[in-house]
Amino acid sequence: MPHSSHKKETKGSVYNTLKLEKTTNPLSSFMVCPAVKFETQSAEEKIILMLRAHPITNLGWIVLSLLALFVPAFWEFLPADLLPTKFWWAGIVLWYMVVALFVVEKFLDWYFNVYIVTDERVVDIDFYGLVYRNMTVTQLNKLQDVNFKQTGGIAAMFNYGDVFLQTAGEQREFDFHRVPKPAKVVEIIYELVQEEEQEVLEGRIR
Amino acid sequence: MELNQLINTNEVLDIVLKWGFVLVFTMFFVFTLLIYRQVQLMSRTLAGLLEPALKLIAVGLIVGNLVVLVMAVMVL
Repeated sequence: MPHSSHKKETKGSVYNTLKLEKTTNPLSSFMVCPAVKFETQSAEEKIILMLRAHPITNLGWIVLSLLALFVPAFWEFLPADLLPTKFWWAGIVLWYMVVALFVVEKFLDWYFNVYIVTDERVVDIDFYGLVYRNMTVTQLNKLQDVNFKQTGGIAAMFNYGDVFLQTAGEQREFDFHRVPKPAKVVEIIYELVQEEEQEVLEGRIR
Repeated sequence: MELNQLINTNEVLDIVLKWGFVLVFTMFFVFTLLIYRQVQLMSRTLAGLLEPALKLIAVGLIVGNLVVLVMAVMVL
């Protein structure tokens, strides 16, 4: 029997347990066994977790955008003869276009900057600005230490924090920033690492 | 300042403001094209979520900005 099919039958106790809690909400920041695919995913690789920053971390730009909606109302207090009426209206349209682009950009930034944990590796997908992207990958069997840090009252109240993954490779540290349920994330990754180590011992590596 | 001079000054100001706004709206239009490109790139990297809705929003931004740009050239 080839290794891969043997592995398919015997591996995946963490996956099999978690798939009962499968997340279907695409806007969730803690997705368990989501129905998504990422660019370098292999055919047999299963996504266990997909994480993004806790929604509460978006509060700053959401409040700012809501306040920005009311800014043109205060333009009435400027001298009326400063600009012809048609340019006033053009200014208002321009302002709302700026706000719309700001909101879209911030949402995309939150939505697509994700951390993925599969049954084989950990993937960090980052997008910076408009066209730059960065994908960092580390194998589960290279992880040496997994821990998390929760700082501040808001993080404790909404149960989010930073998860740190120390790798044996050249890459120094793998960080998940402001992800929900950090203790649960650490627990799942720890179980996956143990499962991976067991496979190495039994010679069931893909 | 004589009346003729005042009218000329206002006309120049109108032209400068009009093409200033058109330039800014054009820059925004280019920016929305970049956002569409960004959504495409992101969807290729991570597929299976809200891609159709996000692409629709990106196209909406492009169309909206194009309409504003044309209106700015015609009305201002």
